[in-house]
Amino acid sequence: MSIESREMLINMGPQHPSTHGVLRIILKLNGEKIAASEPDVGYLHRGFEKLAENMLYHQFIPYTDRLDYIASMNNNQSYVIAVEKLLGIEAPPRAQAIRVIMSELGRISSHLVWLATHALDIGAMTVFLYCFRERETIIDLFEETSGNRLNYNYSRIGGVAFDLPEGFKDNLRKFLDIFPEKLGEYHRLLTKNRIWMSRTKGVGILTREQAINWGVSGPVLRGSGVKWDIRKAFPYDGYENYDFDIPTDDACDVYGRYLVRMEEMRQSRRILQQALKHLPDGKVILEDSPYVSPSKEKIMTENFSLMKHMVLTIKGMHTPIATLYSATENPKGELGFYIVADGSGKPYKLKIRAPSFINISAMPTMLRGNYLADVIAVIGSLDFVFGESDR
Amino acid sequence: MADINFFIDGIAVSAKPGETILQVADRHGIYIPAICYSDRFSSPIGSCRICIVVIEQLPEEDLRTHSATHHPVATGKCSRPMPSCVMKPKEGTYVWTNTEALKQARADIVKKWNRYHPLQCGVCDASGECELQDAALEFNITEGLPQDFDNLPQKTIHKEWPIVNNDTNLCIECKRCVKICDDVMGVKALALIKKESGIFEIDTVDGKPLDCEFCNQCIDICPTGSLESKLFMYKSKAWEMDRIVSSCFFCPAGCALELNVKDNKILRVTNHLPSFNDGNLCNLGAFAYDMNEKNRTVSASIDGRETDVNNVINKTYKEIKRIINEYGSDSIAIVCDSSVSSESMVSAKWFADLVGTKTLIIPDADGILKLNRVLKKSGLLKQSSYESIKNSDTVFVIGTDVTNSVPLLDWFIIRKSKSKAKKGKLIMAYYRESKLDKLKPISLRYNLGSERELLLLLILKLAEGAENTGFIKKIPDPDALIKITGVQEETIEAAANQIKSGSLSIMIDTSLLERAGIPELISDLAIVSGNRSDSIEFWPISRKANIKGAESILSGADQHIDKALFQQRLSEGVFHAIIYFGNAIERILPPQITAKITDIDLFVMLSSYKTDNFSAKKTFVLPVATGYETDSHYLNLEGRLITARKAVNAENENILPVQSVIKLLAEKFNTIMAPLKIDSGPAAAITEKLIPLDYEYKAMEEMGSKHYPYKLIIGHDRFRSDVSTSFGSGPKIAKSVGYAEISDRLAESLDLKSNDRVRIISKMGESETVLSVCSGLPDNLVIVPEGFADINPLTLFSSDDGYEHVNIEKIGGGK
Amino acid sequence: MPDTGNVMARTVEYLRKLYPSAITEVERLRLGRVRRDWTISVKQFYAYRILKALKDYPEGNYDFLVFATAVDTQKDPRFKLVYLIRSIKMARQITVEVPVADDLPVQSVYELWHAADFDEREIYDMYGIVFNGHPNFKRILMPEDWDGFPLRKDYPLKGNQFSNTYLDRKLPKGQLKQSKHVRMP
Repeated sequence: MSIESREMLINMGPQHPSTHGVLRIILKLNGEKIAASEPDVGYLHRGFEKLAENMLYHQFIPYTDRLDYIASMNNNQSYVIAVEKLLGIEAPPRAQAIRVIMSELGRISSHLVWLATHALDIGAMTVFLYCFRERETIIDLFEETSGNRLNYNYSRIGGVAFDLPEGFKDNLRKFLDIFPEKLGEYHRLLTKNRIWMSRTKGVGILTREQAINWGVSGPVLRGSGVKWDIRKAFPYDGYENYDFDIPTDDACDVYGRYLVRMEEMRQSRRILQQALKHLPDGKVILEDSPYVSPSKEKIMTENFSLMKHMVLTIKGMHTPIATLYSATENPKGELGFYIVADGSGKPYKLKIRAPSFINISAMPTMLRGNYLADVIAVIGSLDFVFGESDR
Repeated sequence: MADINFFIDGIAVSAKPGETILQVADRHGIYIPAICYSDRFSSPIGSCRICIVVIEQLPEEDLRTHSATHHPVATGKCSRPMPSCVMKPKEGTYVWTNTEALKQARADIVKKWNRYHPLQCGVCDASGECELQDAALEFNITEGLPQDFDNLPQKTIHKEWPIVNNDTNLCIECKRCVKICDDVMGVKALALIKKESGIFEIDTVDGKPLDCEFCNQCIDICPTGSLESKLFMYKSKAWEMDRIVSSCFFCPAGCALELNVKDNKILRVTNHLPSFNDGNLCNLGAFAYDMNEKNRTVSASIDGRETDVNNVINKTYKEIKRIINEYGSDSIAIVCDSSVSSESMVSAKWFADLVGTKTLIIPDADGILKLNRVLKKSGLLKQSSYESIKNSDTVFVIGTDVTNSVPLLDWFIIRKSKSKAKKGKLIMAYYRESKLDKLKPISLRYNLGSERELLLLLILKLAEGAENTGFIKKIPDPDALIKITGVQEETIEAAANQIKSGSLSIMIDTSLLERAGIPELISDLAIVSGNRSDSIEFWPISRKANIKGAESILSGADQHIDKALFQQRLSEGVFHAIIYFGNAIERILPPQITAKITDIDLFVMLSSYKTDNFSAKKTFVLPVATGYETDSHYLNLEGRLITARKAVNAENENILPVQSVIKLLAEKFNTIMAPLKIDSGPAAAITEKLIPLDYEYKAMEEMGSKHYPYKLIIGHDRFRSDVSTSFGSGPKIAKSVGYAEISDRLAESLDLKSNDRVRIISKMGESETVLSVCSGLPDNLVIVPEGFADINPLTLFSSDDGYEHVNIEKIGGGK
Repeated sequence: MPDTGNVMARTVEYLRKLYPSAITEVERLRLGRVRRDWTISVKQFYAYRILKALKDYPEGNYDFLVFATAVDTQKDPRFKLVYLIRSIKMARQITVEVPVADDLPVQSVYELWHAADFDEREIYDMYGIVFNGHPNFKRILMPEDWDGFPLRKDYPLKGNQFSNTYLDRKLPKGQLKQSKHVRMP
């Protein structure tokens, strides 16, 4: 007697609470096991690259907020650094330090959201509440600085929009003082938790070779044992002056990636402490540069500043004719901008190298042979955002 | 002269003789900033000093060891800064365009301009395309001269000028407007004038409110917002508008222009395109852009009742079918205006073929077709080109004022006379004073109606004796001819000598060509001038935009009949239906004809504009799109196919392109319309052998009578062409009503003054108008311009001779 | 980390030795502070081989494909494929540009780097360049029945808000064509 068996095709998403947005995965199931899978992206495509070709360089900064909207500060920074490199200018030291502070806070905040949702998906409700409590502190800090709570639009070509507000340093110091304790709390809740370990260990294996071949980046790459961090390899905004480690894990599974991110939060705190200690004084934006609009006060009182501002906002700046790729290490991975500049105020082409997009493409490899319930764990460990993936 | 070799920024360049350093740099792609310079001028102004360079003359021994990295600071033997737009290069010199000292000097100039410049970029129309703004960024001005806010000079704001708003506070005194007004337009209305307070301001030469051609040129070329169009002010920001590259279709020149469109509305016209018109536009091109918004036919109608387009098309089909069945297809006449697009004309011809009629009339094309036929016979037929006007030795203008008819040709002639080479001479044969008389041409001021005699005289002078003029029968006595024309013999001799001297461009009015003998005489004149066929150009001058398109369509067609034959057949009652493509038929056909059309069974009108008082027994109106609402094509005077691109959507879906209407109509005939084929003009054919044509002279009879002592002639006005242009607000402000012009002496004798209302009476009827008294006009002449909505001189006409005998009466009887 | 003193020059030299006529242009861009990546232009015929050679470069494999994209150059040939590849070991990256025409298929590099999977699909989606040898070749971001390739320079940025042509084609008869909140001037 033989039982006829057949593979089953099921759709997961695009409307699914644990796909973190609008991801649709077509799963081919052999019983409970995944024989093959195909992620389907593009539900949030807004044509950013086409839009970018039709707007001035500085007009695109708010759009970068909408890429990885969990870590907007990092996106802003990544984009303005690309444009600054293109123009051959560098932000003043204080602006660079502020950007480092913001991007590291952004990294912690992004990882907190990851941890919260990842744990929630797997079934640990408590962690979600704790993580959002700490994230709230960070968002308050951002709000003090930029006025916004999600899409900050804070970095500018040649610096940042405003200086740090009064009391920011104290608030940040307070947060950094309590944060290790909170981090320990999460560790106590999850790291040695038997359920957590059995759901994540040995699940979603992506070997070192596979990880490199699939081009994944960020914690996913480091979770596969590759010691690679743009901040170390191609330092930007003075990261070469900070002392921090690149955490890696050789387990190559969901648990390994979990440990890497947890450690990254600790390293970010280290960077923040150093940045606070050595925060230089001075201007926060290049004022005399032909690429930077003068301050509001000058615009209202001096006609030459007004004229300069008008031309910069209407026609845009004259860039060198050049092609350039610049990347930064974002919470999700390597966010890069490939800019083809033709000398006009608008980019001829702007390609966004989105880490989530590439990381999703590696998912079928991780899922093969795992159980259906593990899809959720793998999605959580990849930590993608569709604003970025679909652009 | 040999080329001059020298170096700009270490790059070896060579200059042609006469070129300035700036031009050489431009040609080699080296950027030198400049504000007051424009290649639209014949000579540089040299007022802004932004384009300064330093010139270094190296000793012989240094020249040999030259390297490209050489920098002038190292030697310190440079000249002081010189404006590169004026300076001519010298052999072997080194020109440096961007040293630190020059940067500083340029920045200082911009700072000086900025000193009293108001802080109003936010509300200024020029913001976004202002060259002062650009300069502030380009030279990265981060500090200014100290501003003395208590003693800001308050300069004049000329709000009282029509169309042009002149805020002299914003002016940087580059004098571009002064230059373009004088150099390109030849008007000389503006000047930089020292005021009582010692401040210089741009103002009119006479200090009165501006009264000029209102051509937009000064507004267009102003680097700041100092000169602005009142029609555009505060309507939009420069960067919010889409710029649609299109062509002007108000006269046959076909200038390129850009329509600035926002929210489905044309807000202004700019032009910075490299084209044969060098960015120049006239009042119509620049300011008549809102003509597609007023007085439009927006829905189909039958005898004045609005109805559905399909309904009208159905009924049209049924009526045409009925008429064809009853009277045969030759009872249908297709009439086409010559200012409509080639699409309309091709559709008209295609439709004529469809219904099988042999009658296609394009009234204003009669003259040009006659000339074509004659030139074909004599071997002179060829396509002219604008480039050749610039190079021709003589421009002979007869019977027309190109300033008013085709302004582009006027600019070409002015440019020729203003350029340093002073190449070419103008002969102006016209019955009255005109703008081109300022250029001091050889002026043949003949008596109106004696064009034939004038041409005969010139031919006799050129042929040097009667033995060479066998083609002219009954050679009259030259002295008698001179008496008729009223031109001095010496002037004719001078003109003949000039015509002989080299290549020749003849510009002649098309209405003149309609008269018997004129085309033959023109052709003979060209032949006896001793030129070969490739150095003679004919320019039939008309105010109708697509006169060349009409020529191209009709030159191969057998359907075309001329006005006279049409009138004859009309009175014989041959036609029962007329289909008209164009606006206001009463303005293109004389009243003898239009009166008969009103009696006809069916009159179908494919028009964009409403006609007030014209109807037949059955009048069907189908609305069609204007040139702004659909892609349309025109042939310009040099036979080039120009495209007027669609800029806005039509007001409603009833308004269709004319070819779509004809397509719908064709579907009723169970015919599918093929895509239209629009070709450029007939090809040029250069012939070596030129044949003089026979001409028999007949003395003219004077028909004047006691009742009608004056001659009425239709004038072209620079502010109107087609009747549609009278709905554009710019031309309307520039000239609101059509004045009847009479000479000052006649006015004195009749006790009339300017702005008096008068009644002009002819055999055909009478018409009321406002009077304008001007000098330089023959005493027995009344000139009424065409294209104005309030007066239609055609209604007074009875003869085809180009003028009509009339009387003038004052209305109101007051002083 | 190994000595990477002049590693880019050595890489290009290595490629030149392998395929003497493949590289048409080498560009080294400096903007502001010194950057270390080079750009080479490669003929399409050699593109796959050059990329494979780079992946197997003995001194340190260029084993990480950062991204692949295309540029609509509006010249002839119309497009330029861009691959940015990186050696993790040497911390160096090199940009490979391949001019391609718009009607000829290109060899996929999926077999070299699986990272090209989504990127090549995106290039097809946005520019219409077809890749041979890709395991799952179809549109990725745009709907599968989309007309046209949005990132081509001749593709309009926006449609006419008054035009119903697109909706006429897409919507069933009788359905509301224009949303009610279209703001009319």
